[in-house]
Amino acid sequence: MLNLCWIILGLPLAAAALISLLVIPFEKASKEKDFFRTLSAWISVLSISAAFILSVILFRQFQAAQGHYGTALEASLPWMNLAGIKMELGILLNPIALIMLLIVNGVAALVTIFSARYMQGEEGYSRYFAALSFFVFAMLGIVLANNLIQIFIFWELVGVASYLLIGFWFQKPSASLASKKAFLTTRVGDAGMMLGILLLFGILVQTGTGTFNFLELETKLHQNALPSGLLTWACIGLFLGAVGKSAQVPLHVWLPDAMEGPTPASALIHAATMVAAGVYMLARLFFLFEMSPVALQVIAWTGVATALIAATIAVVQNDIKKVLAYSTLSQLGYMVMAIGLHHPEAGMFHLVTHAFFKALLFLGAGSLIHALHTQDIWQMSATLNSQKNAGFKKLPITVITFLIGTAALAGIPFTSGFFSKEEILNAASHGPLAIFIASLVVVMLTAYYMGRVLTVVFFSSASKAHGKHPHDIHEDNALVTLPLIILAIFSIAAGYLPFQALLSDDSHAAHPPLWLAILSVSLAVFGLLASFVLYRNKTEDRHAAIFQVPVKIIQEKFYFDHFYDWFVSRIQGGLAIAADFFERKILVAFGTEGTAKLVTAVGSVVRKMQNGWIQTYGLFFVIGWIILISYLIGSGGNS
Amino acid sequence: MIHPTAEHYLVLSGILFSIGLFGLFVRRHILIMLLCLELMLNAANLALITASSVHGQTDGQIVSFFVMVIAAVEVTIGLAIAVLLFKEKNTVDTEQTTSLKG
Amino acid sequence: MATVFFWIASVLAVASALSILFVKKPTRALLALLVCMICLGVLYTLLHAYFVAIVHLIVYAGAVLVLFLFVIMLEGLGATTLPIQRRFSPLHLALTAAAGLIFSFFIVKILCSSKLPALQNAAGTVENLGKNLFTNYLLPFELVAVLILVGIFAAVSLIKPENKKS
Repeated sequence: MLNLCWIILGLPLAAAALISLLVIPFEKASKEKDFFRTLSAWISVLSISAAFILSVILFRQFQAAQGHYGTALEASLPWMNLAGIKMELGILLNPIALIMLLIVNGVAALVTIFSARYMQGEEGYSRYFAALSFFVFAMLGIVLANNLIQIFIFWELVGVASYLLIGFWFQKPSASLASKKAFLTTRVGDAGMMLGILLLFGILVQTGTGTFNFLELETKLHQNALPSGLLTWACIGLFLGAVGKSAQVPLHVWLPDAMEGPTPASALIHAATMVAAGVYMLARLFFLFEMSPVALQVIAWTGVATALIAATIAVVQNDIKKVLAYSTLSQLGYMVMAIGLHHPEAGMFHLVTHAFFKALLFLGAGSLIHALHTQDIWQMSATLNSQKNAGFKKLPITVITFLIGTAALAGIPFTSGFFSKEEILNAASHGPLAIFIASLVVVMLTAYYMGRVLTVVFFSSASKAHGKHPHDIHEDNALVTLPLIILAIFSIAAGYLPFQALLSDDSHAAHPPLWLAILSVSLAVFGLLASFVLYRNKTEDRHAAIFQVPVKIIQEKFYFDHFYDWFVSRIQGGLAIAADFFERKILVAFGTEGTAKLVTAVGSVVRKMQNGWIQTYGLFFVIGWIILISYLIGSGGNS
Repeated sequence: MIHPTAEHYLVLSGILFSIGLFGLFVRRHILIMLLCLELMLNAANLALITASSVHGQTDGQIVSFFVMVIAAVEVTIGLAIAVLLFKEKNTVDTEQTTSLKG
Repeated sequence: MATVFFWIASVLAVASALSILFVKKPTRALLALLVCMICLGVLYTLLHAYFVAIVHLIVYAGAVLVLFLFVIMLEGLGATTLPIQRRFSPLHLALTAAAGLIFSFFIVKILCSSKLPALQNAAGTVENLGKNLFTNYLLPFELVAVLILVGIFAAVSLIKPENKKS
């Protein structure tokens, strides 16, 4: 079974290597670019689909071997073993990893197929597929990792892949800035994560040897009583990595900007998989976080704050991708919150369902953007609604799947999103009241902003003063629609799959209470209806005067970006100037240059001793001799 | 008159040595410098003979013998060098021989 | 009697040594050194080193100084007369004075404190010297012979004229 894991891990890497090392050079050199581009797409699609099929086979094998919640299979290749620090490259297969494997490979396969058609005509077509395959490889590395160092390495690699994909159209200044912003912001989180890993290692040294390996970590934690203060700091350090990668407040600022990348890439990376890596890590290492209630509280509050802030910002966004980005942030906040409330299985369940419906929404948005040539919802509205029900007639599959995705996101009953959101709200209801109320508010806001998008784009009956004629809108071919349909099916069905049994032991088997379901559904419906009523006749967002100031704050994304900008340019810039001054004027002037000047000066003085007269030399010789003899005589003569 | 003791001889040897050393530094003529070298060697010889007399053995005298031999050889070579120097630079002034000046 | 000889010889030795410092002509310096050598010979005899005294006179006065004289006369090195150096670098003077003072201080301290035994008759006769030389100091004797040989080679090779063909 584990050999299969290695193959699954290696397939995307082979695809990425093949494309970047063989196909791209040939493509550059030849005139038949189309052939090579199709080749890249085929290589990518085949490898990732093969990885998915192998994952399914692996799943069946696991079930056949009667794996359940607690089973874990491990294989590792030793990398380095120095004086108690053991680093290895390994695979840890337990149910949570298996599920994640299926999700990552499945969604990646669908996105790759979608991109094959969506990205056609792009200059960097092959480069896109190389980066995409590389990303899948890095993500699988995180999923299968069996020790902290490996997860960190692949964490960073995923960041690199994200950088490559966000900055795909690097000639556009905004895109290259966004990719840098993403990388640097996650880097801040990663620094915290490294510190957490090392701190953890240090704490464990007192039990014998420190370790990075997950299974060893678990046994050591259960067997020893470790200082809780330091353990909390280590957990917070690790959580910082999740804050960066899963875009929690305050390191969330990169995700909206990451929408500069191609839409299918956003679907895969910034909806379904990479941002879920943080949640995955928290769930995988929950045995560690369990040990520190304080860290879990920090996690829960951060999650709920992210959910609330992101949902509020989503309400005022006009770019459809930005709405979806903030929606992702909000849902990630939900997942993180669930983990912080001692229910990692709820967080993972929501991660699974979210992967499906968010990828669906992004790909659907991509299809819309492709058809309507705009990302702004008001322009889409103007184009689509100049003719009654133009949406349904021209883009039927896109519209229907988009509706299904929205339903899942809002938590309409019988979609997968409904089930997972219930679990999370159930977890919140056992937590602090403030968190519970905030999560309910987020339910309503989620429904509201998605309803806003739906109403404006599809159901608007506003006056068509500036409506463009829907001339050439058509649905794209099967390569585009098929992934949408498959994802839509899963958005409904995923709630019924037997993941629960694998994700947790049966102690949490209690179903969410009925009153909770009624409450959340009514809030969602209220949000949808409110948005429908408010927006069906609008051609643009106009707010009453009393709302101007709060709206401005929300529109400026709570001034996070402004603050960071100020911080980096003033404080960090100031530090940089001070350090530069210190280095140039003090260290170099006294240190390197100073030493050189000193040596030159001394040399030019000493040089005068060599005046060529032997008498001078003789004099120094004799003086030295006298000093020696005097010392010898003075110290008693016993040399 | 004070009867000479070993200290007197040693002091005399020291004085002669210092004069030779000083002469080496203040005279510029190469031959006179060589003469001062000889003076220094002889001062050392005197000290050796005194030491031999102090102990009542002839060892010091034998060593002074060797010193004399060495001095003779050294004079030979030193004069050869002085002659060559004079032939090269046409001067006996050591102040002119500064080609090793750094 | 010996005391008188000692004092005359030592004063004369010091005087002639000092005069080496101050004469201009090399020939005069040479002669001054000759006087010094003779006085030293007297001193050696006073210390009962008879053989060494005679050898000293033969070697130095008879060979070394004559060699000097040959060089002065035949190579014309004596033509130039250079006086004693008058200009001294202040640094050099200071260094020398300091070193000299330190050194003299120690020497005086030692000489005033230590008490050497009285001078004995070391009986530096040929027979005694011979016995000691050829039993205890045989190896150095042979080595010194080699040294003389090397010196001869060195002197000859230095004076050898260069090949005109180069």
